Amino acid sequence: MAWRFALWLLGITLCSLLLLWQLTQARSFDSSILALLPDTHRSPAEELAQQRLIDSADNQLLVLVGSGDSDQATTQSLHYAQQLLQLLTDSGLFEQVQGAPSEADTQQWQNFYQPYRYHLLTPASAERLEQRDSQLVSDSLTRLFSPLAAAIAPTLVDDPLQLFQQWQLASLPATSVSLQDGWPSARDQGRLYRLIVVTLSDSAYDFDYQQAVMQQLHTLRQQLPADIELKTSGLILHAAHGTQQARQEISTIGVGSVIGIVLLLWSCFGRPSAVMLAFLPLLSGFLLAMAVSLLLFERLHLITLAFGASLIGVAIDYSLHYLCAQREHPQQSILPRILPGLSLALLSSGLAYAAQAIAPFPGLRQMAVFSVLGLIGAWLTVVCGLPFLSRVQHLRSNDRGLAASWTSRLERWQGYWPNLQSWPLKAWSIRLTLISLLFGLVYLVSQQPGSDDLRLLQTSPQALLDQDAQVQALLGSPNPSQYFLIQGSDPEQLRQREERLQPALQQAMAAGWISDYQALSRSIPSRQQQQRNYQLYAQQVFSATGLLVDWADQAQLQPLASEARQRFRQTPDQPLEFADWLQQPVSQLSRRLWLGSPSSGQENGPVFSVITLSGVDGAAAISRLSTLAATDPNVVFVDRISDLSAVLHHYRQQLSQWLLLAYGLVTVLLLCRYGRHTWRLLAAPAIASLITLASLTTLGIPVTLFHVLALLLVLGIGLDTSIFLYDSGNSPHTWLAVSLSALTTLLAFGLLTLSATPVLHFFGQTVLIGLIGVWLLAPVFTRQAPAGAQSDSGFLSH
Amino acid sequence: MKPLRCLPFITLALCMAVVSVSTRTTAEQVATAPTPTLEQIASQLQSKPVQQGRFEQRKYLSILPKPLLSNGYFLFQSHDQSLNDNHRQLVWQIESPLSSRLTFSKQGILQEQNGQQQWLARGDQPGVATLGDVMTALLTNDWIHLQRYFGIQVLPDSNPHTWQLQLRPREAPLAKMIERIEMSGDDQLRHIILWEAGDNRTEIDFLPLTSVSP
Repeated sequence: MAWRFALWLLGITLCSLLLLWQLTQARSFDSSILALLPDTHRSPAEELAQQRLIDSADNQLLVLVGSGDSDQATTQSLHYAQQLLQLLTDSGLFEQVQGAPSEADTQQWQNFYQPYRYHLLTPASAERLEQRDSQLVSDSLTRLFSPLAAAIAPTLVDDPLQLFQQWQLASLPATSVSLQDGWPSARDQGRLYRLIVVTLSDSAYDFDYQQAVMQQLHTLRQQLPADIELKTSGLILHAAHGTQQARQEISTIGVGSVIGIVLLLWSCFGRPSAVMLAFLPLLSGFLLAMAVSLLLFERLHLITLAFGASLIGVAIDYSLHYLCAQREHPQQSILPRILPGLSLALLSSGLAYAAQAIAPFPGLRQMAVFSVLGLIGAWLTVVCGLPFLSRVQHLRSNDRGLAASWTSRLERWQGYWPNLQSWPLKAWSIRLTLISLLFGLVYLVSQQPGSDDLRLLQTSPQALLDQDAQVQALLGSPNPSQYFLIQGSDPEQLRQREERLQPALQQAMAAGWISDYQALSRSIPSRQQQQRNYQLYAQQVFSATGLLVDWADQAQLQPLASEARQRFRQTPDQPLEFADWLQQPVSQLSRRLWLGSPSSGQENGPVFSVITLSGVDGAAAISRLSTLAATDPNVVFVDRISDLSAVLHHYRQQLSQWLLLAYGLVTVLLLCRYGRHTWRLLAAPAIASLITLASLTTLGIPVTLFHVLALLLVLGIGLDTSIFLYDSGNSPHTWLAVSLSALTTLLAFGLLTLSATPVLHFFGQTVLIGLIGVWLLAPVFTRQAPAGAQSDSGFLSH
Repeated sequence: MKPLRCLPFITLALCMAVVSVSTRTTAEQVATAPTPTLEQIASQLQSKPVQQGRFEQRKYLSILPKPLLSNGYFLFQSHDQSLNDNHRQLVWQIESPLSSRLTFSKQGILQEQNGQQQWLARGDQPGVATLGDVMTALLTNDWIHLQRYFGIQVLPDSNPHTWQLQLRPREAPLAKMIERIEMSGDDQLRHIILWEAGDNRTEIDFLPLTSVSP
């Protein structure tokens, strides 16, 4: 016994040291729901696209300084934007704080493309040239005679029909941000917003950094007058909120449940030593789980941690059984007596937890590992630590009355409580009532719609999401969740495929499904298209019978026309090459659309690009867009949201089946030991689960994947209860232990119902209803007398 | 025709503008007749708001020996009764040498010709749209808007009944297209000269309306 204790002590010390070392690393918790979800169904190209679109934005923080649109207000907002920029820069927290983009950028952009102007046409212009549309001439002349001429006059010789100018307009990403008083600003609904782009210097998940940034933003907000608003958007805000919520919930729900449990145990055992012994397995289990999990996973998810709270209820079972059994047989070594039951309980709840690991959800796997580790830690403590400790401490064997009074009170209650054995089950009326009740439940459960909506799992508060959406819409940022993925053997073929898709995208824009799209081929058309454009210019514009003749005739612009023709002839027919373009700073805006080859080693592998979409107009638009990709096998429409919803749906179904299978497996397992009494053990968790589902249906709460997972816990924990109760023949002491553990589990797990994190809330909800059900139902189905002392007379035997 | 209602906040903005303008012009006031303030000019213009009129445009291009001539009419239309600036649009109808209609609004510049419509510039794209915005503001005497784009200076004028203004762009992108704008008139805007980049310029004369067939 002593050496076992020494080993246990050594293990605990090691774990403590490990944990201490890890905590000095100051890592924050993961709070994103996406981290919970599986990485399945993603091709390497899609992976890369995701990285470019989402992850690159992760270290950015967008700040908008909003004011009214009056002259005075905009002057004021400029002043505050300048002040903020200075303060943000001075804080030293950020790698870069940027207000105005340099004017040189636009100039540089125009200068770069200028030599290639005869190779660049919008698809619409190319089509009109193809048809030799005389309207092109009158359009151009109209502009020339209009007050707009100032914008086109300087380039008349280079671009007489303004087709290059139109290409430029179409290629520059549409954004409502423009320079106002030298500051990038956007107008929306009568308000003016000044934009500041901040690049983080550290990870958005780093706890200390998060706190410093949030503190800085808070201070800045305080300094602004009430009529100047500050809108922010960035991953770090969500991460910081997650951290704060986790801390808050640990300190309310966590502390609340610990206090509740201590009070409960105190009122029952009346001795601090017993309370301490009851808690010890729990603490060491948590220690082991925490230390090893931090070692195994890069970052613990906040949900894992809160889920860890559920261990309290399960792990405390072990110590309670030990203590209660010891109370019953104070002079004996009780470990051998309870070891089989304890081990079976560890096995069954361990299996229930471990079942989560079969779903390929990284977050759930983490929870499963954490929980199983915790249970093993608690079990080891009871087996190795408690016998030694309880002897050293030497429990004064006689009850001091408190627990005894609880026991007798519970015993009396047990007497009133219905039990199937004592009921005249043969009476048809009762059978009929029970069966119709059961059918009622099954009917309600069958009406359960279920839900796989990703938004249900959103951990960030609506206000934060709204602000995000508003900022993104204002800046016309591309949608990171829906995009086209295009494949080709080389950049040329890739862009040709993009160009084939473009007419459909133009139509989608005209129909309002999207507000805009960004494609590589819009910044640099395929060589094939460029050559075609050049030919169109030569034949339809600058030839002796070209449109330019009409153009000059209509407005007596012959000198201009001949100079323009000469300019065209002097310009070499040299298309813009992709490789050259990629090297230039002008490609910076579109470069992220080019994915290249995702498998870096391969020289001749396929290359990929993305076409991003802005302002996607709802679900109907998404389904229409997805049909656009169907015509070309090399174009894939990626919809991350619906992909993830589909994944959630898939696993909800699979886990529901697994739940049924688990019942089947457990039945087989139990049949070996309990024979035809097996149903007595299964009835409580099964019916409690039905009641849970029926209640959720009645309350109008759709069942999610996470509800189903929690039902696995109801099975695991409920089975524990039933086994303990059955094995002891419903003895008052076991009833006490079972009731205590049910209450502690409810205090620990049921309190999660109060959590603002949807996933935890769902778990809590399910376990709360389920375990109350188990606790109330288990005595109904169990045997009354001590094992073997009474003849069996069960529901099934009649 | 609805009269152009006086916008109350114009006065407020003008008060601010006038402070800077008047200090700059005090020295010159001594030599010539008293130069009116921008506020006075604005109120003079407001007394007879223009809803429509004819224009004659001369476009001088450095590359062409003769100016490009065009004429037509312009008018303001309202989408709704509120006469809110955001809902008003300017129709610029060229009648000669070719027939074409441009509509300037917050949404951008729309070109209509032979029954076909085409966007020349969208409001969300910088560049040409800015120019359209400036033109609308010039013709509606929207000083708030103009001051956003330009520094406005009152030039001395010997005739007490007429005035001259000079506008210089504040932002580089606009300055690349327009060097400066000169406006002159009496109780109405009569003449605009846009001094453009590359030695080009556009002169527009505004004449009273004789006949309009919208």
